[in-house]
Amino acid sequence: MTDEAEVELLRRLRPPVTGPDSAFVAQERNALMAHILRSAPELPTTPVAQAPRHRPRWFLPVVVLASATTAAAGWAVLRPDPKTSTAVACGDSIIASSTGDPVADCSAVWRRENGSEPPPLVAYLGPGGGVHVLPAAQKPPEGFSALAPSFRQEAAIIELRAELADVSRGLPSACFGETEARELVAAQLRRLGLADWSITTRPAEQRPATACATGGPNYATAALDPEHKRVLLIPNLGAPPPQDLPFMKLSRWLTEEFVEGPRRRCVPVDEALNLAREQATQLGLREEAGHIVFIIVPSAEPAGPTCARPTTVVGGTTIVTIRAVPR
Amino acid sequence: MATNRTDEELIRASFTEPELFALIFDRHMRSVHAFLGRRVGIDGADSLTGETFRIAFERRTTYLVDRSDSLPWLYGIAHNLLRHHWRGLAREDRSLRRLGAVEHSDSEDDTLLDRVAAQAMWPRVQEALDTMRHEDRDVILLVAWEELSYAEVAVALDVPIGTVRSRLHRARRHLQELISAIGKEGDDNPMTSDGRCVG
Repeated sequence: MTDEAEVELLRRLRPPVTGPDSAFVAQERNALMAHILRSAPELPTTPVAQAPRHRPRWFLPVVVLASATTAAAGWAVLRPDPKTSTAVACGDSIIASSTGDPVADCSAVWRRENGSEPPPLVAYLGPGGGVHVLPAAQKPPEGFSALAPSFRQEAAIIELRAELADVSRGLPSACFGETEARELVAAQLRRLGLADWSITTRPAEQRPATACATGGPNYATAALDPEHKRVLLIPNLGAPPPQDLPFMKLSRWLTEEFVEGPRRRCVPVDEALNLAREQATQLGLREEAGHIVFIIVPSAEPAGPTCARPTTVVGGTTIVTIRAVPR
Repeated sequence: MATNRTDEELIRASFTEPELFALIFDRHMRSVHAFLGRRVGIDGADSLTGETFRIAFERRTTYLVDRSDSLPWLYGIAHNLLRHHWRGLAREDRSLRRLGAVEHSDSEDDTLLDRVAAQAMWPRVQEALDTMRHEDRDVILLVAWEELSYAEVAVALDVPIGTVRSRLHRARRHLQELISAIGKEGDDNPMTSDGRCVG
């Protein structure tokens, strides 16, 4: 018998598979496009270095699904200054920053996914400018330099990214023409003390875009450029998610309850978390099933009065971040 | 033209033009769907194909730039999804047997005799595949059914190429033992010198 005989036999026995019909292909392509456009925007022009083989696999794939959507914008701002980045690589999973403390953010993910306390962790600056967190016992790859324990990413930029990506009040929430998109971004820049930032738009003719009712392109994506203190609005194909999806209903409820509108109330983050969990359960979104993840961001100034302010972003999982913001 | 670009060029370009990733879907969706269909049936393939590309999009920064063809990388993502999919199933439901009988081989130079002989062996081959270590089965099926090179299998499974060789060797030996056993069963299924069943 030749070395190839078994392989050849298997080749002959390859099960025939009926290819998907064109309607299915179109449906899946549309779903992917919707995901891409919701996920937004720009990544660095050089790929992140591959993590070393045999690295410890910290987190379940759901974390990557849950986090990478919102992290995509974060990598766009990683290179020049790690303080203005909005993403962290926890081991081999990229997550969106929440608190600004990369070790705290990765520790929270570890607890959520493994149900145990993480080992001692250390934050590093990677050769591409990214912020990485690894177990202290693990030798960092070449080119990594340890960041001081006091290192923090800028909370205002992290919050700006989250607000602009919010599904019920951010750029993905409706078809925004250029004027409306600029107004929305400008309001957030003012609120977050980033009034010296500018807003620019990428011309629609550089890429295909959905037309809004006003006739102009839909600016559904924003890339943050802290180095030049600007928000770049990018026209996109695609439409806002259907309003009757559970995560949309939850996000709208959170916005009306805690952010804007006549029902708005100021409550501590813990109370908002309990209320949000109840509402999510009623809508069929279950944490234990990986449908939804709640993240709490305490106030940087715990002494002052604060109100809970939730944001909702959606990738493979709905992520609700509830921040304590000054009253 | 974006359609003239290699996978590597498209994936790099999708860092700044995310929509271009849809062209990766256009190129490889049917292959990924077929790969999944051969392992879990069409229903499973329908539910996992889209997820494969969504994860690939999210993880595109981990795609290595020296690979012009992204299909092995996509198979690797699909393979990980399969593992998670199988983890929730009973052993019987993970078996290749549930895919049913092979109806034909798509190799054009197969003779009718070859096809009939191979089909007659399918239940025993399924049994051999079901009983071998899953790491070995993954390798031999990627080589035989998806026609990947050893280097491409190494990419798909994220293992060194030497590991691919050793797993393939084990998988072949396992199948060889089975085929030899069939050969000894009698004249009903005589074997040719290259291991094929001819009757």
